[in-house]
Amino acid sequence: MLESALITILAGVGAGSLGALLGLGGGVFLVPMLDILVGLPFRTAAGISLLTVIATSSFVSLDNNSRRYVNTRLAMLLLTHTVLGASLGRLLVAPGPDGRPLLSDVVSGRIFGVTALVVALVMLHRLRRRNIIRDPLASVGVLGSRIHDPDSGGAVGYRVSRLPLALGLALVAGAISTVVGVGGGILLVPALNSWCGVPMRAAAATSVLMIGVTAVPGAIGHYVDNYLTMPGLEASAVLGVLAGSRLGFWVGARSRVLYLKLLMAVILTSVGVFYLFFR
Amino acid sequence: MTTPPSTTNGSDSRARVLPRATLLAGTSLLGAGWVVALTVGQTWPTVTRVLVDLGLAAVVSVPILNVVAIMTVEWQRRGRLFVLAAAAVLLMLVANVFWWT
Repeated sequence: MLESALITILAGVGAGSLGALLGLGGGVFLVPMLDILVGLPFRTAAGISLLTVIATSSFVSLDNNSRRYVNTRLAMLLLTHTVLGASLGRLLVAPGPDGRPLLSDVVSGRIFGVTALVVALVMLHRLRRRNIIRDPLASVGVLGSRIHDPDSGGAVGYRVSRLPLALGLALVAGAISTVVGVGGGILLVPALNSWCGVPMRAAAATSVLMIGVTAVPGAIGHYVDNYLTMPGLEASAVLGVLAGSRLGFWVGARSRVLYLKLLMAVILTSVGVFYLFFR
Repeated sequence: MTTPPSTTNGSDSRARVLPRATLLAGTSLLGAGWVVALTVGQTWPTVTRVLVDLGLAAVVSVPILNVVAIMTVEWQRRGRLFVLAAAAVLLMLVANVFWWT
């Protein structure tokens, strides 16, 4: 028990720091760690991961520095779709009359792998896209905003484009969140940044606020279905992730966006290849 | 020119007091549960489960309180569309709780 708890805490610190750094919640890193290092079944790892996603989101979204970049109006519109998607995704993993879910652990793992690889490719394709408007008089529209851009050292604006596409992807992100135990940030951050005109820091901060809410239906479902039966490990993971979130947020405020995108693409590719070919 | 919504005004800060307090309470309960699990968890498994469950319930309620806080701020700004969106999100979350439990 002690060994598993310590490994889980360390995995939580790693996942929490990467999650807060990249706006993903950490689930995409924690699920493989719990699955491979601690040896938990995929569904249990996914359930614990959803709890940690909520913890990361809660911690980071209450931080004053992070909130400067959050676009709450865009988040509210997208949340209507991510929460609906998460509720529908619940139907895919709830045990059926024979006690087995519609999607097996293997299929869930494959979906996880494909999602991670696709998102990594999108990130790499649009690595140098900045999405910022330097003109202080330019309109940012109803959903756009103005933020401080540490890379250019001043205030910049951005407009939100392709809202219908963002809403559609939010629905898919919500469903994937429940199925594979992530917050949906692995889809939301690249989509908002690459296709909808939102700068990386604003996309990450907005995503962090959203993923906590999106993960709630999945976390409740996993609890009700008795996938969460190890309170010691659950507490270890959440406490580790909370500690890691603080570290990741501190590093994120001092890092260049290009490096954050590269790091995210490398990690997603590794996770995707593992779940598709070695699991 | 459209003025971007501020996220750090006074009413917003006041609306965040409850989520902050809830997160602190949840973390404390989880910490206590973790210590109990590693020390006397084998003897008193129910105590561990109760402490961790209460801690998790507090942590899980923070995003819901965040949505309520945003809804309050948008209500004051008269952003009706966003108040409606927040209400829809809350309704779906509550429906989830009752549907699955």
